[in-house]
Amino acid sequence: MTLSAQSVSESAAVMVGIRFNGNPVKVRQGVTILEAARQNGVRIPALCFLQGTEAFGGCRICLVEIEGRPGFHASCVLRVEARDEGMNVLTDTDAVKAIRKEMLKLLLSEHPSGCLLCNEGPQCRESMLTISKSGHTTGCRFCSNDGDCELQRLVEEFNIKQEGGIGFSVRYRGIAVEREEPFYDRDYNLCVLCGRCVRVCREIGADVLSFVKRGPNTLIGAGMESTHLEAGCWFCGTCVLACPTGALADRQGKWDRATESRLTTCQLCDLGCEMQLDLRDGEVVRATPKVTGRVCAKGRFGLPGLISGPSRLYSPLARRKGVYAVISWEEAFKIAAERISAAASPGGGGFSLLAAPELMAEAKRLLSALNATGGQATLDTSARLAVGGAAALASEFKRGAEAVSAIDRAQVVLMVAAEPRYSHTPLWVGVRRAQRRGAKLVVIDAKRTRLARLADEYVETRAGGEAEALYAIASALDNQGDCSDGGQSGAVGDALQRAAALLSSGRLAAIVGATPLQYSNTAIYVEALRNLGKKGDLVGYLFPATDTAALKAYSTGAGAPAESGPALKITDLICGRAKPAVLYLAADVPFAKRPECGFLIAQDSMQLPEQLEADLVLPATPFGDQATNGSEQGAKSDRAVFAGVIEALGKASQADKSELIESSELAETSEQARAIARAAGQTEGGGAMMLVREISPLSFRGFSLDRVLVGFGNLGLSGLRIHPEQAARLGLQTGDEISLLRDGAEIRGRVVLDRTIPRDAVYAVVDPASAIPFPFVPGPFAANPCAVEIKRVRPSVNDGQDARR
Amino acid sequence: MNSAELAEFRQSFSGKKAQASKRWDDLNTGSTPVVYVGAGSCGRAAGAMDVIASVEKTTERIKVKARVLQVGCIGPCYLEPLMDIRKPGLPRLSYANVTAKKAAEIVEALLGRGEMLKPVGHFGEQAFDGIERFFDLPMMKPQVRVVLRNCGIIDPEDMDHYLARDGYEGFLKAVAMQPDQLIQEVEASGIRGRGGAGFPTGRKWRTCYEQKAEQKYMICNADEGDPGAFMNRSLLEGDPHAVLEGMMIAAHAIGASRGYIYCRSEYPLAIKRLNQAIADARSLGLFRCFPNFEFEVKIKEGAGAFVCGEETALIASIEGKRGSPRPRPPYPAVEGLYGKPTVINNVETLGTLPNILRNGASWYAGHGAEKSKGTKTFSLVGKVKRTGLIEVPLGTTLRKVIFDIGGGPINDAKPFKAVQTGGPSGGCLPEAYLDKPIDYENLAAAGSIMGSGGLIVMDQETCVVDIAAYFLDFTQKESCGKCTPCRVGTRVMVDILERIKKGDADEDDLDKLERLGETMSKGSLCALGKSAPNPVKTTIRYFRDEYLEHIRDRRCRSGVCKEFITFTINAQCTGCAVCLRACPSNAITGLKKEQHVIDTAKCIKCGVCRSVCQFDAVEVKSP
Repeated sequence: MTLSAQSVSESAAVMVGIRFNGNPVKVRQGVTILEAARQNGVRIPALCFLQGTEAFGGCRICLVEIEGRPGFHASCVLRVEARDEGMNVLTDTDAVKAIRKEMLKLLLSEHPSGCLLCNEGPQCRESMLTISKSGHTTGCRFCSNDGDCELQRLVEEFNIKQEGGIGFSVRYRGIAVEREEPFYDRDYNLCVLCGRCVRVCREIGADVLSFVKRGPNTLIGAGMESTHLEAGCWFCGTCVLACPTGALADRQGKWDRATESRLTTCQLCDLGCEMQLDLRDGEVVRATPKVTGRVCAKGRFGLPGLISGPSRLYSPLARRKGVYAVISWEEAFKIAAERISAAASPGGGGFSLLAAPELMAEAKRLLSALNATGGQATLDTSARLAVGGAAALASEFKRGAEAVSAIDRAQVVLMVAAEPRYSHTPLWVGVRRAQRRGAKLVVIDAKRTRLARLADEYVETRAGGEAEALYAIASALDNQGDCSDGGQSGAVGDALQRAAALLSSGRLAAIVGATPLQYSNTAIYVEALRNLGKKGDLVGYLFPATDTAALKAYSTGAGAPAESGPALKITDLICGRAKPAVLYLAADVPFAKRPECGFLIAQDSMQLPEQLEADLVLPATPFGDQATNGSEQGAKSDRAVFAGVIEALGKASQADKSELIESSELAETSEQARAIARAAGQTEGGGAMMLVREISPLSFRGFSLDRVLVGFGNLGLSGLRIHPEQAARLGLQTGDEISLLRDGAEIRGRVVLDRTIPRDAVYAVVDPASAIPFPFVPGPFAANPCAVEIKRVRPSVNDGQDARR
Repeated sequence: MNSAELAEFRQSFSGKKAQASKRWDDLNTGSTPVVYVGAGSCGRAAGAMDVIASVEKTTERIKVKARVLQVGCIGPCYLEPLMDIRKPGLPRLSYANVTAKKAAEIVEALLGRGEMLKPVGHFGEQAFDGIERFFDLPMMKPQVRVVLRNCGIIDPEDMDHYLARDGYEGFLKAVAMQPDQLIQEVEASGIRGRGGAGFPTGRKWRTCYEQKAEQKYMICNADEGDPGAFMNRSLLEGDPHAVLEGMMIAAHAIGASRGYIYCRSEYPLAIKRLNQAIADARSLGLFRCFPNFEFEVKIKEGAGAFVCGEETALIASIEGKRGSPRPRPPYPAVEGLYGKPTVINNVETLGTLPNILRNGASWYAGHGAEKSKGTKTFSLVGKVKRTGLIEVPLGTTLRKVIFDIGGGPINDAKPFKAVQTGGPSGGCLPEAYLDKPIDYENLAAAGSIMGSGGLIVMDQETCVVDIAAYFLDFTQKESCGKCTPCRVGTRVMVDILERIKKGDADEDDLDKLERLGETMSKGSLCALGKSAPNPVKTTIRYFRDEYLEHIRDRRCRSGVCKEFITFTINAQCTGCAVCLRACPSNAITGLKKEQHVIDTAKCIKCGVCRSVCQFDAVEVKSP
C-alpha cells in the first residue's frame, strides 16, 4: 500500500541471513528490522509504527542494538540490505530495555498518565461493562477509556508502574479540547505526536493534517488554526482509528462501552464496504471499516444513527385531524389498500407511486397487483432528475470491486467533479495507490477542492464548465487534435492540452462525478464520457444510494417506452401540475412540504419533514437493521411492506376489473427537461453570480443524512456556499440569510463560506427539505447553472448552530 | 559544446579576465582615490551606510573625485565600521570605529588637505610611516586567510574583481579533469566538511558519484543558525563567487546539473549578492562552458528553522515539506532531494574548494593538523577584547585563538572561565583545554564539537548552569518535535536546570541530567537531538562543583542566578542617584551625595542599577 511496501515486494527474491539475538533467520532484502522481527516472532515494541504507512522513526520505542555498530537504531526505519548478511540484531539487552523505558517515560511525562499508573486500574477495567465506561462514571475523563490504549499496553509491558513511576517532571499542555469537528473530539493533551494520523491522512485521505509549530509546542493540526472541516477534510475517520491514544475519539459512543460487534455491508453507495458495527444492548454505537480506508463519512459516522438513532421510525402512523396516531400494521395495510384501489380505479382521481431506484422491483410488483385488479397507476422516481442522461451509460460503469480494480489497472486516473468528500472516499485509496506506483492524476473541477493540489494536472473551469472542458479534451483525444480552445469551459488552454496529453499517455480510469449531469449541457458531458469509455474504464461516482444497477432500470427495466401512455412526470408532481388522489412515496421524497394530492402515503425509515403532512406513515428498515434488534420494534423491510400492501389490495378490490395502463416512463432520458432548461436560458433575468446546484452526497432513501443524523448538519451542505472573498465583497458572512433572485422567483438560504467555490458562483445542494429546487423542473430555476442576483435578507443570528466552513 | 565552441569560450574568458585585471589594477594603482567601506550586514549594523553617505557628501563638498566601494567584512568586529582609503602615492590606509563625523574628517583631511590622520593600519607591503601593517595587527597576524582571502578586499558585486583575483581558475581546472580524478584531488587535500560533522568531503562526493541516476543535485547549505555565528554570512556577503565556484566544482565531480543554495531568509544581503553572482556567472557562459558540463542553480530561502541546517530537514524544506529530519540511511548522497543522489556541502567547504584546485591538494594539506587539514574560520565572540571573524589553520590551540587573536578576557579583573565551541550543540570547555590544538578529534574527545565554528568566550561572570539552560532552551524551542528524546528530553532538561537555578533541585537531578543526556545522545533521530545535551554534559563534566554549589549551598559564584544573589551598594557610591532613578521597583533610597541603600525586600534583581552605575558601587553577592 505504500512505496516502501512496493519496493519490498520488488526485491522479494533476494534473501539475507541475519540474526536476532544470535538466532539465525532468513529475511527478504529491503524489509525493515521491525517487519523482519515480527515475521519471525521476535517481539520489538513500537508505537509510531503503523502497518501500511510510511515509516516514521519518531517515537524511538522500537530501538534495537546491532552488534558491532555503535548506538541504537530505530528498527521501524532501518532496512535489511544485502551487505547486512550475518548482522546480529539485539532486541533484548539491558541497554535496549533501559533506553526504551526512558523513551516511554518521556512520552508519559507529557501524557496525562494517571490512569495508566492508577492503583484502581484492574477494578476499573472490570467495571467497563457498566452502563457507560467506568471513567465516565468515576469522573476520570481524560480520555475515552476505550480500553484500546497502546500506551497502556506498553506501560504494562515495560513494568513502569512497578518501577515507581515516570521520574520526570510532568507537563500538562492545558489545551482546550477541540469540539468543532462534526463527528469527533480532538484532545491534544493526550497526543503523543506519533504522527500516525498525519501519515494516514496523507496516504489515504484528503491530506489535510500536518505537524504544526515546533519544539515543546509541536502539535498536530490542519494548519493556519483551521478546523478539519475548514481545511477540506473528507471525514473518513481513519485518523481516529489510527490514533494509539484517546487524543482523537468519536464523539458518538465515546462513553458507550460496546459489548459485541457484527459485520455488515454498507449500502449507502455501490462500493459496498464491509463494516464492523459495535453494539451495546442491540444498538449500534460505532461503525468502523473492516479494511483500513475503505470507508467514507456516511458509513463511518452515519450508520449508527441510521440504524439505531432517535429519528428512526418504528411504528405505522396515521394522521387524523392533524395528529399522528400509532396504528397496527394490519390497519395500515388496510388503509393503504383501500385508498390505492379507490384512486387507481377509473375516475378515482389517479394513483401515483414514487420509488427509490433500489425499490423498483418491489414497486413493479405492486403495479402488477393493481394491474390484476384493473387499476391504473403511474410510477416514477426522483432519481431520474439526478441521473440526467447517465442512464444511457449505465452498463458502462464499473462498480464495487470492479471499480477499484479498474483504478488499480490505470496508468492515468481522471476525476471529473468527483471529489470523494463524504461519499465514495474509498475510491481515493485506489487513486493514491495508483499515484504511488507512478500513475498520473488529472482533475477537472470548477471547485478548487483538495484534489486540485494532489493532482498532477488540475484543470480549473468556470462554475459549471466541467462538461465543456471534458468535451474539449475528449474530442482532442479522439482526433489527436488541439484542445487549447476550451470553448465555454473557462479552463486555461495549456492546462487542457497538458491534461489531454496525460490522458492519452496510458490506460485510463475515469471517475465520473454527478454534478455535471445536472447541468443544462449534460448532453455533451454524456457524449464526452461515452468517448472516454471507449478508451478506458468509467467509474461512477454518481450519487449516493443509487447504484449503476439501478441506473439500468431507467433504460431497460420498466418495459414501457417513453412515448406510450399518459405520462406522470416527476416534474409534474414537483411543480404541482399533477394532482393524484393518492401519492405513495416509497423511500423517495423530493418534497419540502406536502405536494398536492388527496392522500399521501410515505414509506421510509427516518422521520419525515413535518410539513410533508403524510396521511399514512409506513416505517421501513434501513439496511443493516437485521444486524440489530431494531426490526423487533415494528419497522418492516421494504419488501415486507410492499408485500403487505399487495396482499391487502387483493382483498380490497376483488370487484373492480378495469384495465391497467402502466405508464411509467423509466426509459425517458431527461431530454425534455433539458429542453426546458435551454428554453429558460442561462443568464436571462439573473445577476452577476452563477447558481450551481449539486446532488447531495448525503441523500439516502428519500432523506438527506444531514437532516436526521447528528453531526452531518455541521458539514454546511444545506447552506448556500460562497467563496469567503466573494462573501466579503458582498458584505456577507457566515449564517446571513440571503435570497437568490431570478425572474421574480427566489431561493432562500444561509451563507456558508467555502474556499473551494469559484469566486463568481454560489453552490447549493439540491435538497427538497431546504427548498433548493431540482434543475430541469420547469420554472425560473430550470437551468443549471443559472445566473442569480444575491440579496441579503437578514444578518446572521449567532445561535451557536452555524456550520463552520 | 564542441571543441570550436570550447576554444571560443576559452578565448572570451581570457579576454574578459584581461579586461577585469586591467580594471582591478586601475582601481589599485590608478589616479582616482578609492574609499573602501566594510558594508556587510555587520558593518551596516555598526553604521557603514552612514559612513558612506558622509564620505560621498564630503567628497562632493571638497570637490574631490573619489570612488566609494562597498566591500565585505574583513573580520575584526571590534573595529567596525571599518573604512579604508587609498590615495595615489600612499598605501591603502585603514580606519577603525569610524562614525559619519569621523569619516568626514578623515576624508577631508586626506583628500582635501593632504593630511593623514592616524590610521589603525595599512595594506602596503613595506613598513610605512611607523604605521602597522593591517595584517600585522595582533588579531590578524596569526591568521592564515584562505577562504577569506577576498573578504573585505574586493567588491563582491563586481565579478571583475573576483576574476582579477584568479576567480573561476579553480573551476576551469576542475572541469578539465575527469570527475574521478577531481574527487581524488579533493580526497588528497584532506578537507573535511566545514558544516560541523567533519565528514571527508571527497568521500561524500565519491558515494554520490558512484550512484547511477539521471538527475543528481548539488546543494549549498547556507542555513547558518547558531546564535553568535556569522562565518557563512560574511563569506557569502564578502565573496559570493567563491561559493558559487565551489558549487560548480562539486557539481562537476558528482555529475549534478542542478544546484540549490539553501540560505536563511534572515540573510537578505547574502541572497541579493548570490543572485547577482549567479546572474553574472550565467551571462559569462560559465554554466555551459564545457562539454558534459551543464549547471543551473536556484536559491531557496529558509523560513528560519534551526533544524533546517540538518541535511535531511533541509532537503524536506526545499521539497516544500515541513523541515523535519528523516532517519538515515539512506544518506542524501544515495537518496536525497526528490529521491535523487544529492551532495550537501557547507558554504565554507565550497568557498575553500577553488583554492584547493588552484593551488593543489598538497598545498592545502600542508596546512592544519594530522587528521584535520587546512584552515577553518571561527566567529570569536563573547567576553574577549577583540571579537570578529577569523581564519586559522586547524591544530591551532584555543589559547592562541582566544588570547593572541582575541586578546583575552574583556576585563582583566575577571579571568577566563570557559569557551563554548560549536554553537548551542557544542560543549563548554574549561581552561584546561586551552592548550589543546583545535581539531575534530580533540573537540569530540572533550565532549564538544567543531560545529560550524562558533567560539563563545565566557569569563567568571558567566554562570555555567545559566549558560547550559540558555542553550538547552534554544535547542528545545528549535527542536522539530518529531522524536521523543529531543522534543521531550530538552524540555525535561530545561525544567531541571531551571530548578537548579532556583535552588529547588537535589543531587539526584544531576544524575538524571546525565542519564537523560546519554539517552538523548544515543536515542535521538538527528544530530540536533544527539548533540543538544552537549552543553549540559560538558558543564557538568567540567564544572560539577558549581552545580553542587547551586544545589547544596544555594550559591551562584558568578552572581547570575537570581534566587541566590543580593544586590548591595558599597562605599564607592557617590550618591549620584542615577541608580535610584533607574530602579524599576523603587528599591533604592538615599540622600544626594550619600551612599545609597538597596531594600532587598523590594529588589527584583534586574541588575539595572549595576549597569547604570559609573563607579562600580553596586555589588552582587551570593552566600
